Amino acid sequence: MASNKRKKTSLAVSIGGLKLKNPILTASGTFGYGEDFAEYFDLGRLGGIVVKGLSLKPTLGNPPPRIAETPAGMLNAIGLQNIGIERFIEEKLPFLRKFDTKILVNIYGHSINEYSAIAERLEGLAGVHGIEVNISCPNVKKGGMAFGTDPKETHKVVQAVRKKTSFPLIVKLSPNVTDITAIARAAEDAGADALSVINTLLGMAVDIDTRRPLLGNITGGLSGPAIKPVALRMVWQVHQSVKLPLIGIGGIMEARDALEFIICGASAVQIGTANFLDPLSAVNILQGIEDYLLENRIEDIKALKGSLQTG
Amino acid sequence: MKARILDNQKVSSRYFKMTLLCPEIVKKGKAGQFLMLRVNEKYDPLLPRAFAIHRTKTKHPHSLEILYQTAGRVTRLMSYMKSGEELSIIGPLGNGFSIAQSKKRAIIIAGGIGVAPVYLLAEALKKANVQTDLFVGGKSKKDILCVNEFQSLGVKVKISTDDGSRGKKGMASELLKDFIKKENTDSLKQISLYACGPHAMLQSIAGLAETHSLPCQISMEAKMACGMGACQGCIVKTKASDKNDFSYQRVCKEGSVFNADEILWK
Repeated sequence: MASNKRKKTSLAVSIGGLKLKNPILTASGTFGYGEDFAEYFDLGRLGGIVVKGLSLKPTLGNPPPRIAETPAGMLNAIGLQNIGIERFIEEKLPFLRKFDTKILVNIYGHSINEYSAIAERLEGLAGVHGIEVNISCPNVKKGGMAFGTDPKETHKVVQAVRKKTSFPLIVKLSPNVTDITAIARAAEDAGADALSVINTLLGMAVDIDTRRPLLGNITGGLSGPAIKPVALRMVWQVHQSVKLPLIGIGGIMEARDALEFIICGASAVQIGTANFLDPLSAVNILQGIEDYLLENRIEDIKALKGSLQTG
Repeated sequence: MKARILDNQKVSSRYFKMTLLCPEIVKKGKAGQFLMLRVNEKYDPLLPRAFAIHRTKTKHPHSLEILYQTAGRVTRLMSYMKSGEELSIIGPLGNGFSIAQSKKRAIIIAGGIGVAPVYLLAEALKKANVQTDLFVGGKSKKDILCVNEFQSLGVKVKISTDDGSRGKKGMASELLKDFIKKENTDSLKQISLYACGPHAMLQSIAGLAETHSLPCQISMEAKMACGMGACQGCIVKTKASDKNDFSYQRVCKEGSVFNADEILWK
Protein backbone atom coordinates (compact mmCIF):
# COMPACT_ATOMS: atom_id res chain seq x y z
CA MET A 1 0.00 0.00 0.00
CA ALA A 2 1.42 3.35 -1.03
CA SER A 3 2.05 5.52 1.99
CA ASN A 4 1.21 8.72 0.17
CA LYS A 5 -2.30 7.55 -0.59
CA ARG A 6 -4.88 10.17 0.33
CA LYS A 7 -6.57 9.34 3.54
CA LYS A 8 -10.06 8.00 2.98
CA THR A 9 -12.94 9.51 4.78
CA SER A 10 -16.03 7.61 5.83
CA LEU A 11 -19.21 8.57 4.05
CA ALA A 12 -21.38 5.73 5.32
CA VAL A 13 -24.48 6.63 7.26
CA SER A 14 -27.28 4.72 8.90
CA ILE A 15 -30.86 5.93 8.81
CA GLY A 16 -33.29 4.10 11.03
CA GLY A 17 -31.67 0.74 10.36
CA LEU A 18 -31.02 1.49 6.71
CA LYS A 19 -27.29 1.42 5.99
CA LEU A 20 -26.20 3.68 3.15
CA LYS A 21 -22.69 3.73 1.66
CA ASN A 22 -22.99 7.49 1.36
CA PRO A 23 -25.58 10.13 2.24
CA ILE A 24 -26.71 10.89 -1.32
CA LEU A 25 -30.13 9.71 -2.43
CA THR A 26 -32.17 10.80 -5.41
CA ALA A 27 -35.59 12.22 -4.63
CA SER A 28 -38.84 10.61 -5.65
CA GLY A 29 -40.30 11.90 -8.90
CA THR A 30 -37.02 13.32 -10.17
CA PHE A 31 -35.27 10.09 -11.08
CA GLY A 32 -38.02 7.92 -12.56
CA TYR A 33 -37.21 4.27 -11.85
CA GLY A 34 -33.52 4.86 -12.49
CA GLU A 35 -33.35 3.59 -16.07
CA ASP A 36 -32.99 6.97 -17.74
CA PHE A 37 -29.99 7.83 -15.59
CA ALA A 38 -28.17 4.49 -15.86
CA GLU A 39 -26.92 5.62 -19.29
CA TYR A 40 -25.06 8.47 -17.62
CA PHE A 41 -23.45 6.87 -14.54
CA ASP A 42 -23.29 3.70 -12.46
CA LEU A 43 -26.33 3.88 -10.16
CA GLY A 44 -24.30 1.87 -7.65
CA ARG A 45 -22.44 5.06 -6.78
CA LEU A 46 -25.53 6.43 -5.05
CA GLY A 47 -26.33 5.90 -1.40
CA GLY A 48 -29.87 5.19 -2.51
CA ILE A 49 -32.65 5.79 -5.00
CA VAL A 50 -36.15 6.83 -3.99
CA VAL A 51 -38.36 5.74 -6.87
CA LYS A 52 -41.26 7.70 -8.34
CA GLY A 53 -44.30 7.63 -6.02
CA LEU A 54 -46.36 4.49 -6.48
CA SER A 55 -50.03 3.85 -5.88
CA LEU A 56 -51.97 0.61 -5.70
CA LYS A 57 -53.35 1.10 -9.22
CA PRO A 58 -51.72 2.92 -12.16
CA THR A 59 -52.39 6.66 -12.08
CA LEU A 60 -52.69 8.92 -15.14
CA GLY A 61 -51.72 12.15 -13.45
CA ASN A 62 -52.76 15.72 -14.19
CA PRO A 63 -53.55 17.38 -17.53
CA PRO A 64 -50.81 19.47 -19.15
CA PRO A 65 -49.09 21.85 -18.80
CA ARG A 66 -47.40 20.22 -15.84
CA ILE A 67 -44.23 22.28 -15.60
CA ALA A 68 -43.59 26.00 -15.19
CA GLU A 69 -40.34 27.75 -14.44
CA THR A 70 -40.25 30.46 -11.76
CA PRO A 71 -37.30 32.54 -10.47
CA ALA A 72 -34.61 30.04 -9.37
CA GLY A 73 -37.29 27.40 -9.11
CA MET A 74 -39.88 25.33 -10.88
CA LEU A 75 -43.49 24.41 -10.32
CA ASN A 76 -44.68 20.93 -11.12
CA ALA A 77 -48.13 19.43 -11.11
CA ILE A 78 -47.47 15.92 -12.39
CA GLY A 79 -50.16 14.47 -10.15
CA LEU A 80 -48.19 11.33 -9.29
CA GLN A 81 -48.52 9.67 -12.71
CA ASN A 82 -47.22 6.16 -12.13
CA ILE A 83 -47.44 2.59 -13.36
CA GLY A 84 -48.84 1.16 -10.13
CA ILE A 85 -47.20 -1.15 -7.63
CA GLU A 86 -47.66 -4.41 -9.58
CA ARG A 87 -46.01 -3.20 -12.76
CA PHE A 88 -43.23 -1.65 -10.68
CA ILE A 89 -42.50 -5.02 -9.08
CA GLU A 90 -42.67 -6.84 -12.41
CA GLU A 91 -40.96 -4.39 -14.76
CA LYS A 92 -38.78 -1.99 -12.79
CA LEU A 93 -37.56 -3.73 -9.67
CA PRO A 94 -35.55 -6.45 -11.51
CA PHE A 95 -33.52 -3.71 -13.21
CA LEU A 96 -32.94 -1.79 -9.97
CA ARG A 97 -31.79 -4.97 -8.18
CA LYS A 98 -28.72 -5.07 -10.40
CA PHE A 99 -27.16 -2.05 -8.72
CA ASP A 100 -25.26 -1.95 -5.47
CA THR A 101 -27.45 0.75 -3.96
CA LYS A 102 -30.46 0.96 -1.66
CA ILE A 103 -33.92 1.16 -3.18
CA LEU A 104 -36.56 3.09 -1.30
CA VAL A 105 -40.09 2.77 -2.57
CA ASN A 106 -42.14 5.94 -2.26
CA ILE A 107 -45.81 5.07 -1.72
CA TYR A 108 -49.05 7.03 -1.56
CA GLY A 109 -52.70 6.19 -1.30
CA HIS A 110 -56.12 7.81 -1.33
CA SER A 111 -57.03 6.12 1.93
CA ILE A 112 -55.28 4.53 4.86
CA ASN A 113 -56.30 1.13 3.51
CA GLU A 114 -54.50 1.82 0.26
CA TYR A 115 -51.32 2.83 2.07
CA SER A 116 -51.38 -0.39 4.10
CA ALA A 117 -52.18 -2.52 1.07
CA ILE A 118 -49.10 -1.23 -0.80
CA ALA A 119 -46.89 -1.71 2.25
CA GLU A 120 -48.20 -5.25 2.61
CA ARG A 121 -47.52 -6.00 -1.06
CA LEU A 122 -43.92 -4.78 -0.74
CA GLU A 123 -43.20 -6.58 2.52
CA GLY A 124 -40.12 -8.76 2.29
CA LEU A 125 -39.54 -8.21 -1.44
CA ALA A 126 -35.96 -8.73 -2.53
CA GLY A 127 -34.43 -5.54 -3.86
CA VAL A 128 -36.53 -3.24 -1.70
CA HIS A 129 -34.67 -1.72 1.25
CA GLY A 130 -37.10 0.77 2.66
CA ILE A 131 -40.41 2.56 2.27
CA GLU A 132 -40.91 6.29 2.03
CA VAL A 133 -44.48 7.22 2.86
CA ASN A 134 -45.63 10.24 0.89
CA ILE A 135 -48.12 12.21 2.95
CA SER A 136 -47.18 15.46 1.30
CA CYS A 137 -47.87 15.60 -2.43
CA PRO A 138 -49.60 18.92 -3.12
CA ASN A 139 -50.89 17.82 -6.52
CA VAL A 140 -53.47 15.18 -5.78
CA LYS A 141 -56.87 16.14 -4.50
CA LYS A 142 -57.63 13.14 -2.33
CA GLY A 143 -54.97 11.67 -0.11
CA GLY A 144 -51.44 12.92 -0.52
CA MET A 145 -51.09 16.09 1.47
CA ALA A 146 -54.32 15.56 3.43
CA PHE A 147 -52.49 13.00 5.57
CA GLY A 148 -49.53 15.28 6.06
CA THR A 149 -51.23 18.40 7.35
CA ASP A 150 -53.02 17.00 10.39
CA PRO A 151 -51.00 15.28 13.13
CA LYS A 152 -53.86 12.87 13.91
CA GLU A 153 -54.12 11.74 10.27
CA THR A 154 -50.35 11.44 10.06
CA HIS A 155 -50.35 9.23 13.12
CA LYS A 156 -53.06 7.00 11.69
CA VAL A 157 -51.45 6.46 8.31
CA VAL A 158 -47.95 5.89 9.69
CA GLN A 159 -49.26 3.46 12.29
CA ALA A 160 -51.17 1.53 9.61
CA VAL A 161 -48.07 1.23 7.37
CA ARG A 162 -45.91 0.33 10.38
CA LYS A 163 -48.15 -2.66 11.08
CA LYS A 164 -47.57 -3.97 7.56
CA THR A 165 -43.87 -3.40 7.07
CA SER A 166 -40.63 -4.50 8.64
CA PHE A 167 -38.64 -2.31 6.24
CA PRO A 168 -37.19 0.96 7.49
CA LEU A 169 -40.14 3.35 7.33
CA ILE A 170 -39.46 6.92 6.28
CA VAL A 171 -42.18 9.57 6.27
CA LYS A 172 -41.91 12.45 3.81
CA LEU A 173 -43.23 15.63 5.37
CA SER A 174 -45.07 18.53 3.80
CA PRO A 175 -43.84 22.09 4.33
CA ASN A 176 -47.40 23.35 3.78
CA VAL A 177 -48.24 23.33 7.48
CA THR A 178 -48.22 25.80 10.35
CA ASP A 179 -45.98 23.68 12.56
CA ILE A 180 -43.95 20.95 10.92
CA THR A 181 -42.63 19.73 14.26
CA ALA A 182 -46.14 18.64 15.34
CA ILE A 183 -46.40 16.43 12.25
CA ALA A 184 -42.86 15.15 12.79
CA ARG A 185 -43.66 14.13 16.36
CA ALA A 186 -46.87 12.40 15.26
CA ALA A 187 -44.88 10.35 12.74
CA GLU A 188 -42.29 9.52 15.38
CA ASP A 189 -44.93 8.42 17.90
CA ALA A 190 -46.58 6.22 15.26
CA GLY A 191 -43.38 4.26 14.67
CA ALA A 192 -41.55 5.96 11.80
CA ASP A 193 -37.81 5.20 11.54
CA ALA A 194 -36.82 8.42 9.76
CA LEU A 195 -38.24 11.57 8.19
CA SER A 196 -37.69 13.17 4.79
CA VAL A 197 -37.89 16.95 5.09
CA ILE A 198 -39.37 18.51 2.87
CA ASN A 199 -41.68 17.92 -0.09
CA THR A 200 -42.52 20.82 -2.44
CA LEU A 201 -44.17 24.07 -1.42
CA LEU A 202 -47.60 24.74 -2.83
CA GLY A 203 -47.45 27.57 -5.36
CA MET A 204 -48.76 28.99 -8.62
CA ALA A 205 -47.88 31.17 -11.59
CA VAL A 206 -50.00 33.09 -14.10
CA ASP A 207 -49.67 34.15 -17.73
CA ILE A 208 -50.82 37.78 -17.67
CA ASP A 209 -51.56 37.86 -21.41
CA THR A 210 -54.03 34.99 -21.34
CA ARG A 211 -54.83 35.37 -17.61
CA ARG A 212 -54.53 31.63 -17.35
CA PRO A 213 -52.54 29.66 -14.78
CA LEU A 214 -49.27 28.27 -16.16
CA LEU A 215 -50.22 24.83 -14.85
CA GLY A 216 -53.14 22.67 -15.97
CA ASN A 217 -53.79 21.88 -12.31
CA ILE A 218 -53.73 25.65 -11.47
CA THR A 219 -51.47 25.08 -8.44
CA GLY A 220 -48.33 22.99 -8.17
CA GLY A 221 -45.31 22.17 -6.05
CA LEU A 222 -42.39 24.60 -5.97
CA SER A 223 -38.90 23.14 -5.90
CA GLY A 224 -35.34 24.18 -6.68
CA PRO A 225 -32.93 26.73 -5.15
CA ALA A 226 -35.84 29.08 -4.33
CA ILE A 227 -37.03 26.78 -1.53
CA LYS A 228 -33.69 25.86 0.04
CA PRO A 229 -33.80 28.38 2.92
CA VAL A 230 -37.29 27.19 3.88
CA ALA A 231 -36.26 23.54 3.72
CA LEU A 232 -33.15 24.19 5.77
CA ARG A 233 -35.12 26.01 8.46
CA MET A 234 -37.56 23.10 8.66
CA VAL A 235 -34.79 20.49 8.94
CA TRP A 236 -33.26 22.52 11.76
CA GLN A 237 -36.61 22.80 13.57
CA VAL A 238 -37.44 19.11 13.18
CA HIS A 239 -33.92 18.13 14.23
CA GLN A 240 -34.49 19.90 17.53
CA SER A 241 -37.87 18.34 18.18
CA VAL A 242 -37.53 14.64 17.33
CA LYS A 243 -34.89 11.95 17.81
CA LEU A 244 -35.43 10.37 14.41
CA PRO A 245 -32.74 10.59 11.72
CA LEU A 246 -33.59 13.10 8.99
CA ILE A 247 -33.12 13.18 5.26
CA GLY A 248 -32.83 16.77 4.04
CA ILE A 249 -34.45 17.76 0.74
CA GLY A 250 -35.11 21.07 -0.94
CA GLY A 251 -33.13 22.89 -3.60
CA ILE A 252 -29.87 20.99 -3.20
CA MET A 253 -27.92 21.83 -6.34
CA GLU A 254 -24.31 21.47 -5.20
CA ALA A 255 -22.23 19.94 -2.43
CA ARG A 256 -22.30 23.06 -0.28
CA ASP A 257 -26.12 22.96 -0.21
CA ALA A 258 -26.04 19.32 0.92
CA LEU A 259 -23.48 20.17 3.59
CA GLU A 260 -25.72 22.93 4.97
CA PHE A 261 -28.49 20.38 5.47
CA ILE A 262 -26.14 17.94 7.20
CA ILE A 263 -24.81 20.68 9.49
CA CYS A 264 -28.43 21.53 10.38
CA GLY A 265 -29.10 17.95 11.44
CA ALA A 266 -29.76 15.81 8.36
CA SER A 267 -28.08 12.40 8.25
CA ALA A 268 -28.52 12.17 4.51
CA VAL A 269 -29.91 14.26 1.68
CA GLN A 270 -32.02 13.78 -1.42
CA ILE A 271 -31.21 15.39 -4.74
CA GLY A 272 -34.33 16.37 -6.67
CA THR A 273 -34.67 19.21 -9.15
CA ALA A 274 -30.89 19.21 -9.77
CA ASN A 275 -31.30 15.88 -11.59
CA PHE A 276 -33.28 17.72 -14.26
CA LEU A 277 -30.48 20.20 -14.92
CA ASP A 278 -27.72 17.65 -15.19
CA PRO A 279 -28.11 13.87 -14.91
CA LEU A 280 -24.74 13.77 -13.13
CA SER A 281 -25.77 16.19 -10.36
CA ALA A 282 -26.07 13.55 -7.63
CA VAL A 283 -22.62 12.06 -8.24
CA ASN A 284 -21.04 15.51 -8.60
CA ILE A 285 -22.53 16.49 -5.23
CA LEU A 286 -21.19 13.28 -3.70
CA GLN A 287 -17.71 14.07 -5.01
CA GLY A 288 -17.96 17.62 -3.66
CA ILE A 289 -18.86 16.36 -0.19
CA GLU A 290 -15.94 13.97 -0.19
CA ASP A 291 -13.58 16.78 -1.23
CA TYR A 292 -14.92 19.00 1.53
CA LEU A 293 -14.38 16.33 4.19
CA LEU A 294 -10.83 15.68 2.99
CA GLU A 295 -9.96 19.37 2.86
CA ASN A 296 -11.33 19.93 6.34
CA ARG A 297 -9.78 16.74 7.71
CA ILE A 298 -13.13 15.37 8.80
CA GLU A 299 -12.73 11.60 8.93
CA ASP A 300 -16.36 10.70 9.24
CA ILE A 301 -19.34 12.55 7.82
CA LYS A 302 -21.30 11.63 10.93
CA ALA A 303 -19.16 14.14 12.84
CA LEU A 304 -20.66 16.91 10.72
CA LYS A 305 -24.28 16.02 11.40
CA GLY A 306 -26.08 18.63 13.49
CA SER A 307 -22.82 20.50 14.10
CA LEU A 308 -24.39 23.93 13.62
CA GLN A 309 -22.77 26.47 15.96
CA THR A 310 -25.43 28.77 17.33
CA GLY A 311 -23.66 30.13 20.40
CA MET B 1 -21.47 17.75 -21.19
CA LYS B 2 -19.70 20.96 -22.17
CA ALA B 3 -19.94 22.14 -25.76
CA ARG B 4 -17.98 25.01 -27.25
CA ILE B 5 -19.74 27.54 -29.44
CA LEU B 6 -18.03 27.75 -32.82
CA ASP B 7 -20.40 30.22 -34.39
CA ASN B 8 -23.53 32.18 -33.43
CA GLN B 9 -25.10 34.15 -36.26
CA LYS B 10 -28.28 36.11 -36.70
CA VAL B 11 -30.15 34.74 -39.72
CA SER B 12 -33.11 37.14 -39.74
CA SER B 13 -34.97 39.46 -37.38
CA ARG B 14 -35.35 37.16 -34.36
CA TYR B 15 -33.72 33.98 -35.56
CA PHE B 16 -30.20 32.75 -34.90
CA LYS B 17 -28.04 29.79 -35.79
CA MET B 18 -25.56 28.44 -33.27
CA THR B 19 -22.83 25.96 -34.16
CA LEU B 20 -21.69 23.72 -31.31
CA LEU B 21 -18.69 21.44 -31.12
CA CYS B 22 -20.02 18.12 -29.78
CA PRO B 23 -18.61 15.07 -31.63
CA GLU B 24 -20.60 12.44 -29.70
CA ILE B 25 -23.98 13.97 -30.40
CA VAL B 26 -23.06 14.57 -34.03
CA LYS B 27 -22.12 10.90 -34.37
CA LYS B 28 -25.34 9.58 -32.83
CA GLY B 29 -27.92 12.24 -33.64
CA LYS B 30 -30.60 11.70 -36.26
CA ALA B 31 -33.43 13.67 -37.80
CA GLY B 32 -36.02 14.87 -35.30
CA GLN B 33 -33.86 14.35 -32.22
CA PHE B 34 -33.06 17.17 -29.85
CA LEU B 35 -30.67 18.25 -27.14
CA MET B 36 -31.20 19.92 -23.78
CA LEU B 37 -29.12 23.04 -23.34
CA ARG B 38 -28.16 25.26 -20.41
CA VAL B 39 -26.53 28.61 -21.04
CA ASN B 40 -24.59 28.72 -17.77
CA GLU B 41 -24.12 27.10 -14.38
CA LYS B 42 -26.38 29.59 -12.61
CA TYR B 43 -29.83 28.72 -11.31
CA ASP B 44 -31.86 31.48 -12.89
CA PRO B 45 -32.95 30.58 -15.52
CA LEU B 46 -33.04 27.18 -13.89
CA LEU B 47 -34.12 24.50 -16.31
CA PRO B 48 -32.43 23.40 -19.52
CA ARG B 49 -34.26 24.07 -22.80
CA ALA B 50 -34.89 21.70 -25.69
CA PHE B 51 -33.49 22.50 -29.15
CA ALA B 52 -33.83 20.38 -32.26
CA ILE B 53 -30.68 19.34 -34.04
CA HIS B 54 -30.91 21.42 -37.21
CA ARG B 55 -27.86 20.32 -39.19
CA THR B 56 -24.92 18.03 -38.55
CA LYS B 57 -22.88 19.02 -41.59
CA THR B 58 -21.51 22.46 -40.89
CA LYS B 59 -18.30 24.09 -42.03
CA HIS B 60 -16.69 22.92 -38.78
CA PRO B 61 -15.97 19.21 -38.27
CA HIS B 62 -17.74 17.31 -35.43
CA SER B 63 -20.21 20.11 -34.89
CA LEU B 64 -23.93 20.61 -35.19
CA GLU B 65 -26.17 23.56 -35.74
CA ILE B 66 -29.26 24.61 -33.84
CA LEU B 67 -31.72 27.14 -35.19
CA TYR B 68 -33.45 29.24 -32.55
CA GLN B 69 -35.81 32.13 -32.16
CA THR B 70 -35.29 34.70 -29.41
CA ALA B 71 -38.54 34.28 -27.55
CA GLY B 72 -37.64 34.21 -23.86
CA ARG B 73 -34.80 34.78 -21.43
CA VAL B 74 -32.78 31.70 -22.35
CA THR B 75 -32.80 32.32 -26.09
CA ARG B 76 -32.01 35.99 -25.51
CA LEU B 77 -28.99 35.03 -23.41
CA MET B 78 -27.97 32.58 -26.12
CA SER B 79 -28.12 35.32 -28.75
CA TYR B 80 -25.50 37.33 -26.80
CA MET B 81 -23.03 34.43 -26.62
CA LYS B 82 -19.83 34.49 -28.65
CA SER B 83 -17.82 31.79 -30.33
CA GLY B 84 -15.33 30.26 -27.91
CA GLU B 85 -17.79 30.35 -25.01
CA GLU B 86 -19.12 27.10 -23.59
CA LEU B 87 -22.52 25.87 -22.58
CA SER B 88 -23.88 22.56 -21.21
CA ILE B 89 -25.79 20.09 -23.33
CA ILE B 90 -27.08 16.54 -23.18
CA GLY B 91 -28.32 14.52 -26.13
CA PRO B 92 -29.26 13.29 -28.57
CA LEU B 93 -32.71 12.82 -27.01
CA GLY B 94 -36.10 11.69 -28.29
CA ASN B 95 -37.00 9.06 -30.86
CA GLY B 96 -36.55 11.06 -34.08
CA PHE B 97 -38.36 10.64 -37.39
CA SER B 98 -38.61 7.19 -38.90
CA ILE B 99 -38.06 7.18 -42.66
CA ALA B 100 -37.91 3.40 -43.05
CA GLN B 101 -41.54 3.12 -44.16
CA SER B 102 -41.55 6.28 -46.19
CA LYS B 103 -43.39 6.06 -49.48
CA LYS B 104 -42.07 7.32 -52.82
CA ARG B 105 -42.95 10.90 -52.08
CA ALA B 106 -42.72 12.91 -48.90
CA ILE B 107 -44.34 16.19 -47.99
CA ILE B 108 -42.77 18.01 -45.08
CA ILE B 109 -44.93 20.72 -43.53
CA ALA B 110 -43.19 23.16 -41.20
CA GLY B 111 -44.45 26.24 -39.40
CA GLY B 112 -42.14 28.96 -38.03
CA ILE B 113 -39.25 27.55 -36.00
CA GLY B 114 -40.69 24.11 -36.87
CA VAL B 115 -38.26 24.03 -39.80
CA ALA B 116 -35.42 23.40 -37.33
CA PRO B 117 -35.84 19.62 -36.93
CA VAL B 118 -36.88 18.87 -40.52
CA TYR B 119 -33.70 19.83 -42.38
CA LEU B 120 -31.97 16.60 -41.28
CA LEU B 121 -35.16 14.79 -42.24
CA ALA B 122 -35.02 16.24 -45.77
CA GLU B 123 -31.39 15.11 -45.98
CA ALA B 124 -32.28 11.60 -44.88
CA LEU B 125 -35.20 11.40 -47.31
CA LYS B 126 -32.93 12.51 -50.15
CA LYS B 127 -30.47 9.78 -49.23
CA ALA B 128 -33.33 7.27 -49.33
CA ASN B 129 -34.32 8.54 -52.81
CA VAL B 130 -37.65 9.88 -51.65
CA GLN B 131 -38.92 12.80 -53.70
CA THR B 132 -39.54 15.55 -51.15
CA ASP B 133 -41.51 18.80 -51.04
CA LEU B 134 -41.47 21.33 -48.21
CA PHE B 135 -44.51 23.43 -47.37
CA VAL B 136 -43.25 26.11 -45.05
CA GLY B 137 -45.26 28.76 -43.23
CA GLY B 138 -44.72 31.61 -40.80
CA LYS B 139 -46.39 34.67 -39.33
CA SER B 140 -44.86 36.97 -41.95
CA LYS B 141 -42.10 36.84 -44.56
CA LYS B 142 -39.50 37.42 -41.82
CA ASP B 143 -40.50 34.09 -40.28
CA ILE B 144 -39.81 32.05 -43.41
CA LEU B 145 -36.47 30.39 -42.85
CA CYS B 146 -33.95 28.17 -44.59
CA VAL B 147 -35.67 28.10 -47.99
CA ASN B 148 -32.34 28.08 -49.86
CA GLU B 149 -30.96 25.30 -47.71
CA PHE B 150 -33.86 23.04 -48.62
CA GLN B 151 -33.76 24.03 -52.28
CA SER B 152 -30.10 23.14 -52.51
CA LEU B 153 -31.06 19.63 -51.37
CA GLY B 154 -33.37 19.47 -54.38
CA VAL B 155 -36.48 19.95 -52.26
CA LYS B 156 -39.37 21.83 -53.89
CA VAL B 157 -40.52 24.59 -51.55
CA LYS B 158 -43.96 26.21 -51.24
CA ILE B 159 -44.48 29.13 -48.89
CA SER B 160 -47.37 30.56 -46.89
CA THR B 161 -47.61 33.39 -44.36
CA ASP B 162 -50.36 34.31 -41.91
CA ASP B 163 -50.34 37.93 -43.14
CA GLY B 164 -49.88 37.10 -46.81
CA SER B 165 -46.57 38.98 -47.04
CA ARG B 166 -45.00 36.04 -48.87
CA GLY B 167 -46.63 33.11 -50.66
CA LYS B 168 -50.15 31.96 -49.90
CA LYS B 169 -52.04 33.62 -47.06
CA GLY B 170 -52.68 31.23 -44.18
CA MET B 171 -51.00 28.38 -42.32
CA ALA B 172 -48.74 25.88 -44.08
CA SER B 173 -51.49 23.31 -43.63
CA GLU B 174 -53.47 25.33 -46.24
CA LEU B 175 -50.74 24.51 -48.76
CA LEU B 176 -51.26 20.85 -47.97
CA LYS B 177 -55.01 21.21 -48.43
CA ASP B 178 -54.47 22.73 -51.91
CA PHE B 179 -51.97 20.05 -52.80
CA ILE B 180 -54.28 17.19 -51.80
CA LYS B 181 -57.12 18.67 -53.89
CA LYS B 182 -54.99 18.46 -57.02
CA GLU B 183 -53.79 14.90 -56.52
CA ASN B 184 -55.80 11.82 -57.44
CA THR B 185 -56.41 8.86 -55.11
CA ASP B 186 -53.65 6.78 -56.67
CA SER B 187 -50.98 9.44 -56.43
CA LEU B 188 -51.95 10.15 -52.81
CA LYS B 189 -51.20 6.52 -51.99
CA GLN B 190 -47.55 7.24 -52.73
CA ILE B 191 -47.26 10.01 -50.16
CA SER B 192 -46.05 10.21 -46.55
CA LEU B 193 -46.41 13.35 -44.44
CA TYR B 194 -44.03 14.79 -41.87
CA ALA B 195 -44.78 17.90 -39.85
CA CYS B 196 -43.50 20.21 -37.14
CA GLY B 197 -44.95 23.53 -36.06
CA PRO B 198 -47.68 25.21 -34.03
CA HIS B 199 -50.37 23.09 -32.42
CA ALA B 200 -53.21 24.40 -34.62
CA MET B 201 -51.24 23.62 -37.76
CA LEU B 202 -50.42 20.10 -36.59
CA GLN B 203 -54.02 19.46 -35.64
CA SER B 204 -55.21 20.59 -39.07
CA ILE B 205 -52.61 18.36 -40.78
CA ALA B 206 -53.58 15.39 -38.61
CA GLY B 207 -57.19 15.91 -39.73
CA LEU B 208 -56.19 15.93 -43.41
CA ALA B 209 -54.01 12.87 -42.91
CA GLU B 210 -56.90 10.99 -41.35
CA THR B 211 -59.42 11.99 -44.03
CA HIS B 212 -57.11 10.91 -46.84
CA SER B 213 -55.50 7.95 -45.05
CA LEU B 214 -52.00 9.40 -45.32
CA PRO B 215 -49.26 8.21 -42.96
CA CYS B 216 -48.18 11.24 -40.97
CA GLN B 217 -45.42 11.74 -38.43
CA ILE B 218 -45.44 14.88 -36.33
CA SER B 219 -42.85 16.31 -34.00
CA MET B 220 -44.51 17.67 -30.84
CA GLU B 221 -43.45 20.27 -28.34
CA ALA B 222 -44.18 20.64 -24.60
CA LYS B 223 -42.75 22.35 -21.53
CA MET B 224 -40.01 20.07 -20.27
CA ALA B 225 -37.91 19.97 -17.15
CA CYS B 226 -35.38 17.23 -17.88
CA GLY B 227 -35.84 16.08 -21.49
CA MET B 228 -34.79 12.56 -20.60
CA GLY B 229 -37.96 10.94 -19.29
CA ALA B 230 -37.60 11.47 -15.57
CA CYS B 231 -39.94 14.34 -14.69
CA GLN B 232 -43.02 13.27 -16.67
CA GLY B 233 -43.76 16.93 -17.25
CA CYS B 234 -43.90 17.03 -21.05
CA ILE B 235 -46.83 14.77 -21.71
CA VAL B 236 -49.34 14.79 -24.57
CA LYS B 237 -52.75 13.17 -24.49
CA THR B 238 -52.83 10.06 -26.64
CA LYS B 239 -55.41 7.46 -27.60
CA ALA B 240 -55.74 4.33 -25.49
CA SER B 241 -56.82 0.86 -26.60
CA ASP B 242 -60.24 1.55 -25.10
CA LYS B 243 -61.92 4.20 -27.28
CA ASN B 244 -63.41 6.05 -24.31
CA ASP B 245 -60.13 6.18 -22.51
CA PHE B 246 -56.86 8.05 -23.02
CA SER B 247 -53.29 7.97 -21.83
CA TYR B 248 -50.39 10.37 -21.51
CA GLN B 249 -47.09 9.91 -23.32
CA ARG B 250 -43.87 11.81 -22.76
CA VAL B 251 -42.84 14.09 -25.61
CA CYS B 252 -39.16 13.63 -24.66
CA LYS B 253 -39.16 9.84 -24.49
CA GLU B 254 -42.01 8.23 -26.45
CA GLY B 255 -41.75 11.28 -28.80
CA SER B 256 -40.99 13.89 -29.76
CA VAL B 257 -42.13 12.29 -33.02
CA PHE B 258 -45.56 10.65 -32.90
CA ASN B 259 -47.82 9.20 -35.53
CA ALA B 260 -50.51 11.84 -35.97
CA ASP B 261 -53.27 9.29 -35.38
CA GLU B 262 -51.96 8.52 -31.87
CA ILE B 263 -52.68 12.01 -30.58
CA LEU B 264 -55.92 13.12 -28.93
CA TRP B 265 -56.22 16.72 -30.09
CA LYS B 266 -59.06 17.98 -27.92
